Amino acid sequence: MKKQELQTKLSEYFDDKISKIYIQNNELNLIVDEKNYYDCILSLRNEFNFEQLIDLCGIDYLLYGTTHELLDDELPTSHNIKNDNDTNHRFAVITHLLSYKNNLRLRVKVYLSDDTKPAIKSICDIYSVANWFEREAFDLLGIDFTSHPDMRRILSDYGFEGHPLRKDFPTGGRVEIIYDNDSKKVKYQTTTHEPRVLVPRVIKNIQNSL
Amino acid sequence: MNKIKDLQLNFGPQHPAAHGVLRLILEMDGEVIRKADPHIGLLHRGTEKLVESKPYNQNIAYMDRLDYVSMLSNEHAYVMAVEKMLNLKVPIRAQYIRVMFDEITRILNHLLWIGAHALDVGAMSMFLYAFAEREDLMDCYEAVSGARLHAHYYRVGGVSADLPNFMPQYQESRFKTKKDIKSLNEARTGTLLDFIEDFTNRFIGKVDNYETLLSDNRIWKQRTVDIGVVSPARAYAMGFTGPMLRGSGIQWDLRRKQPYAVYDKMDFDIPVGKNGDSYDRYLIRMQEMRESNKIIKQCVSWLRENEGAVIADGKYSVPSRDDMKENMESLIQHFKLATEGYCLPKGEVYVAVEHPKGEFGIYLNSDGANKPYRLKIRAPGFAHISALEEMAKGHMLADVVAIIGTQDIVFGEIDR
Repeated sequence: MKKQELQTKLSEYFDDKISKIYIQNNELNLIVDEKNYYDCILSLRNEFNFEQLIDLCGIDYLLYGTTHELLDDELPTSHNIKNDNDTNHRFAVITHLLSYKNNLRLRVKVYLSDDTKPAIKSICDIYSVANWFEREAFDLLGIDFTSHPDMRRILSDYGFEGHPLRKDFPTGGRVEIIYDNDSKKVKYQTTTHEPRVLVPRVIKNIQNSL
Repeated sequence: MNKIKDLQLNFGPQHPAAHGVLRLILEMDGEVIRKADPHIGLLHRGTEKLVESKPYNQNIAYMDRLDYVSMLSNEHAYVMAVEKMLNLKVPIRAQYIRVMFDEITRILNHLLWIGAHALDVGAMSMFLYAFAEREDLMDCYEAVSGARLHAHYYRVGGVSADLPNFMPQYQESRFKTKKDIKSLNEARTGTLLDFIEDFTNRFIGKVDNYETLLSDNRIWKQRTVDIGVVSPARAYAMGFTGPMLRGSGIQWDLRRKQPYAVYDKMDFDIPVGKNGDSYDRYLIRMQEMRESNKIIKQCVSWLRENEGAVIADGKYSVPSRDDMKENMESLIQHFKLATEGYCLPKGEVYVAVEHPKGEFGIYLNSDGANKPYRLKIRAPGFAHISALEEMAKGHMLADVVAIIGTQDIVFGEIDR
């Protein structure tokens, strides 16, 4: 089966359940709504032989398409988010599926409607490996996966605050650890270093030749 | 007599068998594992955040530091992702060099794995044997890039330099006499390709040697046969890739199924296991070393006969130092790359390579800027270690060590 075949089959099968299906950079992309996400993944595994979830990650579109570099916590006041789907959702969850039977890959994207408390149903019971990937997306981006059996932080430190891969989280972090000579104790304090940009962000509109 | 029940054991993070910084909370009934909760992230350096603030070329070096025992395979995935976005054609000679070094990397990785795994299970000598061979391969890394581990050799559009026509030699010192030097330098009198060819010729015997030490060894078999058995269906669901997946009997190798670089021109076999236990995965990795050896040989003979460019035209890489000092245009190119870099078209790609540990993928999302907007590193070890609980449940404490060993865990890529 080829990508184009799968594309027509998927659009026939899902009909109005998916909002967009397209091929970009020779890769098949599928965009689904939040409410259809779980069912869609389930049918992809059961009906379309996508045996494995290769990857699941979140993305924060806060500064997408801008040259703005956030060096501290200040958000631009009149800032409008515009993501790669030309909507203004801030977060998305991206899953990469692999079909061993058909030797095909598929990217499923779901844009999350709530910008302040992003949440989506967990797909742990479809693919067990999603468990840790979802924990990682929660840890780094603060996306809540409802009905997840074990929603804990995974990569960051015990007692860590904030979600580091969000675009409004400074690269240098918010706290640093020091040895306080007076109290003879190791303690946390607000970071003291000056944030800086080594190479500024530049955007040039290059057309993809693929 | 009182029965001891539900003992909680904190395994690591400073434990030699934890392969770095794994903290494992084990709940045990006597010596049987009831629950295992791996705590990862103790080596988290925020690679995915750091790459968002640096131009594309500067991020290649971060890739080395992910899985720090298979450096060039990581780099390969990253440069392939950028090349796919730019639709850049890599010169054929560069592709052969990359394949050769990918396979050298695979041997490097598997040698460290067999050394550490055998050491965990109680065979000290394997570690020493494996490291003796690793030394030669790291010398190959050093000859092309100047670094023994974090090579930073691949570039967007090719590799940084062509293969050198000499091999660095040992010098006489108060630790090494003239006589020692002579035998040590015997294979190093020719070019790098001569040295690699010499290595492939003697390495095949070494793998056989390792197997005589382990394959029929009673202790080794008692520690690995029927330990950590994974069924094919569970292997899919738990996201297994690479030797872990093939150990469960699934014929899948990205080098064959979704070939990249020049793997479609290579002649090699893909070993597949039967029972899905640690012993099968051991046999697969041993066989993979032989297959890598075969691929390296084919690359060496091709590279000997064919000359050509090793980097694509298109000004995505820093020009040579000589060129830069004499040529105005090269100086401008260098300046532009250092101060701004280059922009990628808007869009997203996912590129995966058959890394020694499994499928190593790079998901790259660009908004048209000179830095990645989001870069997700799909590390094979991350999926494998998430299955540790399921694999270890019901086994003894000592088997947990064997299971960590068989998963080929390296924390650089898991914690990122």
